[in-house]
Amino acid sequence: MCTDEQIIRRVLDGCIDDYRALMDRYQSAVFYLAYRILNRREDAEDAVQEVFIKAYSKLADCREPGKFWPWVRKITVNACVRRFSRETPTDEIDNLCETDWPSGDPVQTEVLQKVQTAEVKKMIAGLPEAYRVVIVLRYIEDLSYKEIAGLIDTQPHTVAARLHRAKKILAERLVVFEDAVC
Amino acid sequence: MRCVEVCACLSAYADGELGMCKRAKIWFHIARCNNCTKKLALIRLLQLQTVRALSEPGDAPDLTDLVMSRLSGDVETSRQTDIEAIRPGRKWAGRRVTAAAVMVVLICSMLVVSRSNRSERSPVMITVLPPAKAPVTKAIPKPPASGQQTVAPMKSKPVQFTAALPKPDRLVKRRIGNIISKPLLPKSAYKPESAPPDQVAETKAPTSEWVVVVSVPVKAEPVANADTAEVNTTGHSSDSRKRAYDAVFKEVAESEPAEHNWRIDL
Repeated sequence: MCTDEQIIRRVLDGCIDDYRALMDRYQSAVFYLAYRILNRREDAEDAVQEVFIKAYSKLADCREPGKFWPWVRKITVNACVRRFSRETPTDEIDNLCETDWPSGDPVQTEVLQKVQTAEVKKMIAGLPEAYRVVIVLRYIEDLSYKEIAGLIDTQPHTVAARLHRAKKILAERLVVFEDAVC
Repeated sequence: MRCVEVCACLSAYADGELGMCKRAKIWFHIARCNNCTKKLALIRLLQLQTVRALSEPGDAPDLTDLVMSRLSGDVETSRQTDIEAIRPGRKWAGRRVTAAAVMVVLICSMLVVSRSNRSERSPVMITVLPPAKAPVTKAIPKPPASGQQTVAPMKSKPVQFTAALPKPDRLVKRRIGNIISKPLLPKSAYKPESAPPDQVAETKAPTSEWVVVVSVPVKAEPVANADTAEVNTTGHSSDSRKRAYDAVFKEVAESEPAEHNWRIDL
């Protein structure tokens, strides 16, 4: 089985068909990442095409062919951020007013345990995109704050603040959900 | 730590992103504070549910054929130019070559300009004229001793030599008479008394003054405007150089039009 580096060298030598092997290897990961961030299947499919065409055109600029996935992941995140940043400027999101955390009563915890995954999915889908990006990168891609900051070109403390607010929003929505259920 | 401070860090604490010191402080606070413990439990549960919710995005579509067709399939169509444009390395390869060529041309032109500027330091022709009534020497000159100057200002014909023109700014700062009065020749060359006795055997020491004629070759044409008597210094890019030559030509214009004589005291 060829490594990413070998495939990339062959593609750079002119074997375009070898790029298919790279796509087969990573297109699912790219799709899932884009779908989790963009929350729409059609947008995620468009993003996958955009990402792989851009990766192909910039393949010569890939400094470490052995680390193809981190490189493609950055392209994917940038493509997704570009898509939603036209609609919601991230500055507005970072300047949201701080509110206090919900109390964290045992009732809330019980309700949250009972909440269906679909409901949580809706809550996450309702988050601002900038928050969704950091949540996906932190809890699905399992990246550190520093790595996330490098991916989205910001500071680690900004990442921490966005995650903090995202969780707070989710907790508040949970309270609303709890009120509706109880 | 107070509860407010702890709450601000609870998210990072749950993610394991805090330093040891802060983490220990929060740990001690949570161990004593029931309220913060509940909040931390809520955050951890939220994280768990989030991971669960995001872990089921559905089946991924197979877009390989679509992308590959966009990359290489439609070669014969009008998309050929687009494909060529996005081929790896091709797009920038041409630009890099162009940028390198432009850089080489720029560097070469800078070198040429600097060399031409250096060569623009035109030599000044200085002619030392003996006194008008100085007699012609008849003695046969001896061969000069080693290290002695071969110029013979005592002869009746003028002695000509060249000197590099100082930089224009120096020319502006210093008066041109000062430049000329610099000892371009050994002082003895100007003084008839110091000449070898056999060369000046039949000559008298001149009583009149010696004349130094300075001619400055400038690639310029005098401006027709007689009022200003300035010089059009085309070919000289620097303003200071222009002013310097203007100063020279102004002095020339104010003196005799054909020959410019500065008298110097020896």
